[in-house]
Amino acid sequence: MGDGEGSKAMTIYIVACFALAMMALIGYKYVNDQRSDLETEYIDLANRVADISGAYALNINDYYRKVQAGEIKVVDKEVRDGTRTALREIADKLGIKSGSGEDNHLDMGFQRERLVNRQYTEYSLEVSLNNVTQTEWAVFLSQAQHATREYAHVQNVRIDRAERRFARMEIVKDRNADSTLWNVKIKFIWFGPKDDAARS
Amino acid sequence: MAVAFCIEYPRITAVELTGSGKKPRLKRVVVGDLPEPRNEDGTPVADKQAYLNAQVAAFVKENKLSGGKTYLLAGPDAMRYRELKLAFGDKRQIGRVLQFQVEGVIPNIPIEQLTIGYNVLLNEPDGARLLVHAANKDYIRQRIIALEEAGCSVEAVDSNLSGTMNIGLTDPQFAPAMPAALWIDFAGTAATVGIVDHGEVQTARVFVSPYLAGATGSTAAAADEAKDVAKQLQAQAESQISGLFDKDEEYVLMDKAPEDGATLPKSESVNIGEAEVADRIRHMSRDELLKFVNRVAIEARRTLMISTHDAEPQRLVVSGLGSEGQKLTQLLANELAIEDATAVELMDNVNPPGRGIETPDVGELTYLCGVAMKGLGRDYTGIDFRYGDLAAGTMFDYAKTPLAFTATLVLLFAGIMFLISYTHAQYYERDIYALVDHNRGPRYFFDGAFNFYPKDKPGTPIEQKERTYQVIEDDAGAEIRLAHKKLKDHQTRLQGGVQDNYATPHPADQLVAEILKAIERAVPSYDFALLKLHVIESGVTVDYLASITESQTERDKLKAGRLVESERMFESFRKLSADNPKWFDGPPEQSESGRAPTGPEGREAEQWSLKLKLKKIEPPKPATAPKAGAK
Repeated sequence: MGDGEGSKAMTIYIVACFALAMMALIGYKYVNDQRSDLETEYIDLANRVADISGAYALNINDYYRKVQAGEIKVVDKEVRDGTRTALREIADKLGIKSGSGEDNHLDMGFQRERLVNRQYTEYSLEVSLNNVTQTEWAVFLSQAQHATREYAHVQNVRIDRAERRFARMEIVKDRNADSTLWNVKIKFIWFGPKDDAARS
Repeated sequence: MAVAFCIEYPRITAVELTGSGKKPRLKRVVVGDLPEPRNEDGTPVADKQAYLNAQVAAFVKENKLSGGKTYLLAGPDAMRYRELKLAFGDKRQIGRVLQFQVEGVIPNIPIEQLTIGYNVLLNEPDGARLLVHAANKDYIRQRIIALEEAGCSVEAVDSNLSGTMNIGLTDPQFAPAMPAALWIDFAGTAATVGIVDHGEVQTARVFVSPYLAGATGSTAAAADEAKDVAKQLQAQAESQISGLFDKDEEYVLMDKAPEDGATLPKSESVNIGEAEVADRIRHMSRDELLKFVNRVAIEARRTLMISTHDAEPQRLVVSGLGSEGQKLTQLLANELAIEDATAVELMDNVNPPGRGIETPDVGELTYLCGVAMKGLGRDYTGIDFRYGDLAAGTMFDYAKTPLAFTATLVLLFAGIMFLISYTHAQYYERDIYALVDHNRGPRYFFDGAFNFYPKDKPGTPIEQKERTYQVIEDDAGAEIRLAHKKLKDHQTRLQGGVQDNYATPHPADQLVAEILKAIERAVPSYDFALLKLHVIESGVTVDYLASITESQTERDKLKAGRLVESERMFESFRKLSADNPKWFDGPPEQSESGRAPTGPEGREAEQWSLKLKLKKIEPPKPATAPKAGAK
């Protein structure tokens, strides 16, 4: 090795070292970002897998198992379309029945459908209770709401005293003295996809 | 200010010059001991460089010589001089071939161990005559290291002959207007002979001062032998002239001088000063003196014969003989048959007599001053042996070692960091795929979720798609996310489809219950009667009969406070409204109907109507198509 060649080699070594170090640092920056992303992604994916295995899969499996076993009745269009029948059954159990004249205590309206903003279909059903006591309409309202709680909402309630005459009323203190008659209209609504009717 | 060092065992000499190149002034001369590198028991010191460093550092520190420009003298012992004739005079061409030329004329020393400088003696159209100064590289390197370790930055390194020329040519005797002169300079044990014409050195030779043998008491026989040698030398010189010997072959007397006087006794290796020289001359016998003169004359004649300079020297100028200079100059002039002879003192040019300083008697003083004059701007030969691997390092050169160390560390650090991150990234990628590829991975649970799904109800295409696990080969993350989304959406659907954007109304049944509670909180009177309770989308209307015959006694009995019944009702509904801001839009409004009060048995009640506005249910906004170009 001649004069100055060692020095030149040292210079080349230094430059090469720094160049390689710079490349390594750039590579490190890139790989470290990648590592950081992968770390975050792994944690996220592990949580998702935990959700799948520990929650969603078990819940859905349990749901369909209960459906198969008859423990749960699936609220589908068939169920929703049977709202009118279900409410009539409740009324029947409470002794609120359809009839004529003074004996007509129940009027069940027709199920109506309307498309809202071209986004979904709104179904409505109005039930009229005529000349019923407060206990009757209150129990009906309660049971009807419970029976349809998974899909329907009570939108309107119109409670009118059947006779607008002065009569002492103990609506709170003495429920046994509930002899006042009322005309009550209850409107239930529920929703479905806009093409729900077409698919049924 | 310029400082020149001569570091030769057994002493270190430094001169400090001030002024300018034209008017240099000697400021001080410092001489220090430099004992041979031996231990106390006489054995050689193992690390001679460290020993030299320590000695030089102590000398520099003691004499405060680290400031100013520093020059190093390559002493006669380290020098070889050769005269060369080349067929060209271009400096670049000379630079290319000089190494090879010198390699041929100094065959006994590897060229790698020499550092070379030259000065042009004669430059003619058919070629140039060069005086090559070749110095021992190790000698110079050791001294440069020692000086730099001592804090001196060595600007240049020059030879003794170059220093002699530098200072000698400042003498008025060598002015350009003066006729050609034969110049003989004695500087302690070394002597130089040259021809100076028009202020330029035309040829120059260095030889060992031959008076030492006589001064040390040589016998007459020895003197005769010396004469014989002198005759032989003269004959040899004459044979050169006659073409028997190529005069381009250069020579150096210091390489192989006559045995009787050229080899210095060990005890005389110190370069004696001018006064010592004069003293020795004074004590020479007649024979010794004649022998000395004869020998010097032979060297002079030899130089004249070798020289191709056309002009014959008309004058003899002798320097460096001190008080005996004039006497010996005359003797030499007689011997050389030159009438015009002058003795000069070169040191007078930098240290004028009467105005100068006292100087120690050391032989190297003249050429040391000549070298120091380089620092003042006068540099006759322009020789600097500091080039190549002897060159002064730049800042980068000095920083190379720490830089290399740092670069290695940085590379290691960056490399290790890169490898760690890369390995971690690989691990994470592997783990992500392991999540999917696991036996009980997302697919296992996804399929298990729909184990009991009724096969006879395929459902909508969307639902069917939702129940299908999709394998994405290249993206395990996307596969897991998709399965997660499908199951989540499915569960949400089963839970009631909260993702649907319906205009869900206020719960009228709950409102009825709350209104009845509000009436109860208002403590209805004995005469109270609820006539109407309507809960519709826009609001709540409550019609009731409120007693106007209710006495305070009755209110006290019911613990109804002091407000009349209609006011109690209003207050209770106002509280209901305030407590349920999610339903009600502002406080209630109450008004009395225009009907006449009614009631039996002296009791009377009047009809009130109370209204509460419900917050408007915003209908869902229709889905809008994304704007063009939107991400």
